Amino acid sequence: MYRNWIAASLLALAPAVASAQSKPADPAPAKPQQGEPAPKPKAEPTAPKPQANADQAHKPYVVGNMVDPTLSFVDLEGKTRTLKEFAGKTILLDFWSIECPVSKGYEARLTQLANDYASKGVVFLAVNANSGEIADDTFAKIKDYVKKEKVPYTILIDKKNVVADRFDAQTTPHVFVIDDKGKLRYAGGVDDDETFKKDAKAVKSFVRDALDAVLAGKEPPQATTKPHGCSIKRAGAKS
Amino acid sequence: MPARRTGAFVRSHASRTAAAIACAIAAAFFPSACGPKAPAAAPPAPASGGVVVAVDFDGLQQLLAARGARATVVNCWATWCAPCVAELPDLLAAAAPWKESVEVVLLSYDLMVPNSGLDRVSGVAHVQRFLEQRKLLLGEHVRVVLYDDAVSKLDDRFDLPGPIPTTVVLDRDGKVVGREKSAATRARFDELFGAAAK
Repeated sequence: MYRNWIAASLLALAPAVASAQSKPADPAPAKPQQGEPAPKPKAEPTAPKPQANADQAHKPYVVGNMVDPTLSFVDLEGKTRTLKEFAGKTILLDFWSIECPVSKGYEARLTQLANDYASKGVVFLAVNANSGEIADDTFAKIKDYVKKEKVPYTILIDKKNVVADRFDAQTTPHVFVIDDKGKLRYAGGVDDDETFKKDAKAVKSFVRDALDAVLAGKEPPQATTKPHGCSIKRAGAKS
Repeated sequence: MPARRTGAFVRSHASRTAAAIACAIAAAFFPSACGPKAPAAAPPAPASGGVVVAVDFDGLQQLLAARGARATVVNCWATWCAPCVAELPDLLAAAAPWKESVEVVLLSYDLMVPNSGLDRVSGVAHVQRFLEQRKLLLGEHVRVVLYDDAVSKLDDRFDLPGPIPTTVVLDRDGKVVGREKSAATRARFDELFGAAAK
């Protein structure tokens, strides 16, 4: 693990990377949605309703917003993918990096989480929006990493940061839970390991709590937490 | 690149010893430095000149309280954070003209990584070595502090956004009077130091 950390540090410190990894200017403060109808927990899954956010098409989502199912990515084979194909399923979306030591440090916990919830129908999508990691259209480094680390979840590439900007993703990791109706239900960090030294079994996992609640048709105990980690290196970011 | 890869992170016995000595020296001045638990009393802090100390949150508070009548610019960074490292030269250059009136705290998040493989001693050695190899000119007005405690305490104390880099300006009373939530330019750092010195 330490060797990985070293490699990640060195990669992160490459001057070309260093020149462009700042996140963009602070987003406008998000305001809670008013008057949005409560979800019907027992109802059959229905198609998400992107028009619910039509008045704020360019503003980042906040918890409670409907997520646009046409948001698109490419996968590691270069094929276009959208959230539509996961309609009716609970989605765990994690902004992810193969270089950030914090994201990599959470890999084992997230892998366990993905495995634990796969049988409950939860789709785990890891989104790489770091321009330095996705510049190569063959995504060779990412493929190597996925193979070496036996990453079990689906990797999606957010080439122009459209998805990262819509979610106002700040860090890797930064986790979002979308329910089976397409509504954003949780945004934040992975767990309460504030000193980053806890045993994985001793942490209180915000994501597990959110998933358990959403799957049970309840509100997550904490809908938002503060994410910590590496800032996402967006395309075209100034040094 | 390969040369740097080999040289940058080799953990030599000598560097570990040097780190232990640095910790011992620092611990003489900062009770919370490098040790898991330390007594509460804190004599006035010495100028650091780039010596890295590891502290918990209370140790950081003591360190900040011991800065005398100086305003302070706290920059949250890590060796693994590329934009943080990229802005360090600009930060230090902007700080130099204000070295008599504004102190700089480079607050490292290098231990804020799951499974980092670093403890306080090796973390101090790692950061110390990193700064030496980068040949960054850390004057007496610059303290380098390796943070080892709950990150939420920092978030609450300084109202931090979460990601790094981020920079906050404290006035002589320790009150936050300015901030940059993400990476800053030289011009922005000039503004922050100007605000600090008011």
